[in-house]
Amino acid sequence: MTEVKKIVNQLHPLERKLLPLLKFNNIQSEIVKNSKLEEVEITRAAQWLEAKGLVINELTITQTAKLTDHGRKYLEKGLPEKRFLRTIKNTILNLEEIKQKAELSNEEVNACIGLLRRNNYIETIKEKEAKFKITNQGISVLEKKSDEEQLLEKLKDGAKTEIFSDKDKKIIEELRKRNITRTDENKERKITLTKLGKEIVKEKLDVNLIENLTPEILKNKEWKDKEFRSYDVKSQVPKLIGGRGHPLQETIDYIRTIFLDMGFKEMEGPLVETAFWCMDSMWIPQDHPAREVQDTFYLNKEGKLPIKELVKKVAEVHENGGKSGSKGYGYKFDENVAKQLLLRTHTTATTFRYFGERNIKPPAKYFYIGRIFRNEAIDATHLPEFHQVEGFIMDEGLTLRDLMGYVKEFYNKMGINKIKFKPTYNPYTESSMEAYGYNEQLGKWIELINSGIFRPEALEPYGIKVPVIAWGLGLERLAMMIHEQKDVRNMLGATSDLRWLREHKVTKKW
Amino acid sequence: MVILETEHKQLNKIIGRKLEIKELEEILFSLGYELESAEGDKLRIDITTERPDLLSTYGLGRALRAYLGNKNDEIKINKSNYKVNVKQPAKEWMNTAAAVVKGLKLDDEKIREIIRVQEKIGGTFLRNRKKGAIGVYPLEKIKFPITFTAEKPEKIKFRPLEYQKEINGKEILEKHATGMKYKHLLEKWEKYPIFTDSKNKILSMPPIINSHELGRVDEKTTEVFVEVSGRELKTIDMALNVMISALVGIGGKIYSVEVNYGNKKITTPEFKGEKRTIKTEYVNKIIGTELKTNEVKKLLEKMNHKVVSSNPNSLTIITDPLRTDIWHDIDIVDDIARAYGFNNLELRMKNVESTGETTRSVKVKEEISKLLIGLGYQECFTLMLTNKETQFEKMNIKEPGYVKLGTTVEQGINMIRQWLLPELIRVLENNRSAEYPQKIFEISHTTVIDNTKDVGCRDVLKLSIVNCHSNVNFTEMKQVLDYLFNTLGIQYELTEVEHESFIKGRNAKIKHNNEYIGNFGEINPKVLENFGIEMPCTGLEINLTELFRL
Repeated sequence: MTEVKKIVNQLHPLERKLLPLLKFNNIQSEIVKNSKLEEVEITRAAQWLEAKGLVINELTITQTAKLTDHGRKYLEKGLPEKRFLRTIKNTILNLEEIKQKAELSNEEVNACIGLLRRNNYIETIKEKEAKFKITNQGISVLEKKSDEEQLLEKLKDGAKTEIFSDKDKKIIEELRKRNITRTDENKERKITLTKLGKEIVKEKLDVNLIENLTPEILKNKEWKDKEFRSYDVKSQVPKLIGGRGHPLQETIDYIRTIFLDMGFKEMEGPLVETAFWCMDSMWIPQDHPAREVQDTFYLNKEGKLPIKELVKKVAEVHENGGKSGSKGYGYKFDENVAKQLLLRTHTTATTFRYFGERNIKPPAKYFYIGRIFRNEAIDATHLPEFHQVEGFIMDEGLTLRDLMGYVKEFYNKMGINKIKFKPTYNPYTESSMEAYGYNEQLGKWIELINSGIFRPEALEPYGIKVPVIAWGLGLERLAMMIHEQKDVRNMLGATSDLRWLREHKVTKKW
Repeated sequence: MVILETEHKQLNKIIGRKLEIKELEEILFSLGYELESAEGDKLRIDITTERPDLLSTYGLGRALRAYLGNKNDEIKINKSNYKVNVKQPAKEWMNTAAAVVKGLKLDDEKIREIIRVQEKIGGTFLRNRKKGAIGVYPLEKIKFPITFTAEKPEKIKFRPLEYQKEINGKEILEKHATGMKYKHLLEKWEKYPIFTDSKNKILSMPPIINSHELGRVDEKTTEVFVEVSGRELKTIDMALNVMISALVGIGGKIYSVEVNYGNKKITTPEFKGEKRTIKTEYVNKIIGTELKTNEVKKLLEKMNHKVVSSNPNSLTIITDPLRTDIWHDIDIVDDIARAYGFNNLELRMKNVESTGETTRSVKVKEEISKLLIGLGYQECFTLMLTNKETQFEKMNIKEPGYVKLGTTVEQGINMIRQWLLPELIRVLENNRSAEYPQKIFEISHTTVIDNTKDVGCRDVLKLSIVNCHSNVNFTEMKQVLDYLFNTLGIQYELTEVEHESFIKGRNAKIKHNNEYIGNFGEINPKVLENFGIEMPCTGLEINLTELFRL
């Protein structure tokens, strides 16, 4: 197929209609008048044709100055300044009198005075009240037609601004500011055929090609005798907006799958907790800094404590270690502190609720992914609420080595194979450690997982005699890393960036 | 985490070995601390809060020295005749322990270190002076015996540190910077604690401030009186030990002080660790090792514990007297594991049989999300924390009971959300420049008051959907509802209802088994105006907890 033939075959019906018309006229507004094509159809076809190299579009903007309603009134009755002068031609009058005689509004009068004074056409005589007197210059002006008046005449039926001198243009602009004239813009498209375009126009364009393949065409077998119009496969198409899961949910599901694969059961617990379940139950001292208002959201209300027997055992491990073999903290346990309602600061609150309420027997493996709260101000890396992931294993014979082994396995399942451990401190686990994973892409060690073995003081009240190893991680940090999002506010909350949520790349985990 | 600022050369001197930065960094990491920065001789080291004894150059140096296998000399306490008499102390602040330190060689940097250690022990171990406070005085300015007592605030008169004139106890809390900072600790007490000397001059008013005249240490000072006062004797004894050890590092020799409580006399400081018997089997059971007793002994010594006797299966030790974080034998085992090196342990995964299982809430959420994403909806996560203006006022409805929050750091937060719809509308509000149609949903928890629960409220899983575009209408949302319930195989009924968040006559109540489970309809233009949205919206909210009996 020749190049010309190929182009002809690709032409859209609108292009086919427009092309022949261009032989006679190339101004869009005139084509609209002389054909059945609408303005928007011509615009679209002209743009497509330009993309194919068949026409050149030239846009010209013409400005037309016209009189406003005010302007037309002044053309008839005279400009306010002229009317002002006329009333005082032979007499000296005060403002009120001028207004009445000249039929001027307050605004008009005020505008006039400034203008007339600037040009020395009037002078003010101060008696009890201000009076106005015409000057000699004023009288001479009154006798001839001003530039403004001449322009009003010229603009009576509107006129293209390009025909006026620069001086006149300035005056028109002044008049526009006074709301006497207005300027309308008019876009005109000139569509000129290129050399290629002229060749194409010579071809037979009104061929009857198949546009959309319809059920009718299939039924009546029309396609057997006709040709299909070719499409420009390179042309731009409008963007699609699809439905998508949230990147954070994807991360949650990803972590959940790892846990379920490893045989863990999922937990659920309340967002509002008593300090008892959130802190006391796991031997966090009652004067621990994390309990302070700067860190924890309190409801300023009291909740109910669990059965007395359990509260007593917990109080004992705090006070003197109870039967755990510990010295305890050596203070008097305060039930009122334990009753305070707060927003849970970690998911371990739920873990201990399970210990206290569900009589979990070894061997057991549980996990939880839930929202937790910290009384913090919002910035690019901090929100007052975020998701925590937590898993624990309870069984005879578990050791520090097993904790590390499970944490490594967990990292491996996330695709991180190089890890190292650092001891740390945590009031309810001993040993406690941070596990660092080496991020190959970033080329650095990143601390994602915190872990430990629950302290004997933390487990004793629940009669748990076997080791419980546990680990946790922050979900947002992981999700931000996976999805290369630097500002957590774009991901979560009212400030979520819908564009990003729609368009973020599907990422390989790590 | 607390930062120890120290000097590399000084540290090496105490360690007794030249430790290169890289080596130091590795040892710190394996012990659980971190070299934050090293610029020239200046080091900044992250120490975890349970170890205030590591917050001085001497304290850390001493720990590293033992770790590297060099014994530390025991801290020697010289006998003396210095006395502190306790006379009717404040009932909230009853105890004190003290020491005298001589032979100090101070310069500006050393004085700063003393102040830093004092501040950090006060800030961490003593819980921002809530449990106790430390005072240091030049010995030459004060006359023994010292009295620890309490007085009505108006009657306490002295010139506090770095203040231009003498003021009373009450004024200190109002006018002095440190007074204002720690005012909350004692403003409700009837009497404030004070130390006075034998000439009845005030040394200090703990836990607030020293006297400018008697309690100001400068570079000429070589001998000091150190006291810790507070609530519990055990705590302040420990704090005194830690403070004193920091002074030993700058050449100090320690002299004891007798504290006379009237009914009992104690001599402080006492560098007396605790006696504990550690069974080798217990250590191996926790860590998962097969260490021999003599190997355990070496590891204990690396951590500054003194082994006093041993038999094949166990060791009797005196714990490091500077340690404030040993409650249980498990803490000793952790020390042994750190000395061994966590990263030297061979990892293993004991097989623990159990089957994986998720919850019904998770499954419900998953199924509905899949259906909605299939319909072209974008999932959103909004915050649970919000405000009543968004939840009720802007939604044009009356304020019901809700879960209120106390003090919040972030402005614009005062409750936990009760429904999701207003939060999704806020997402639209912030995305007015994104392309339309905007079709979003969220499935998440909300919280409502429920006094039958121990926490006074209950979490409810809800689904909310919002459509926002120029041709939005009731039918479009009803189609979604219909599709969801049909595919989920759930019957529902609709009844007309007046709900001010929606347009009258264009919203409905959703019922299932005669129970009210949700609403949907065209959002009231007044609501849209409140959120500054100039595009019509429909909204839906369904209580999934109720619908699925979760």
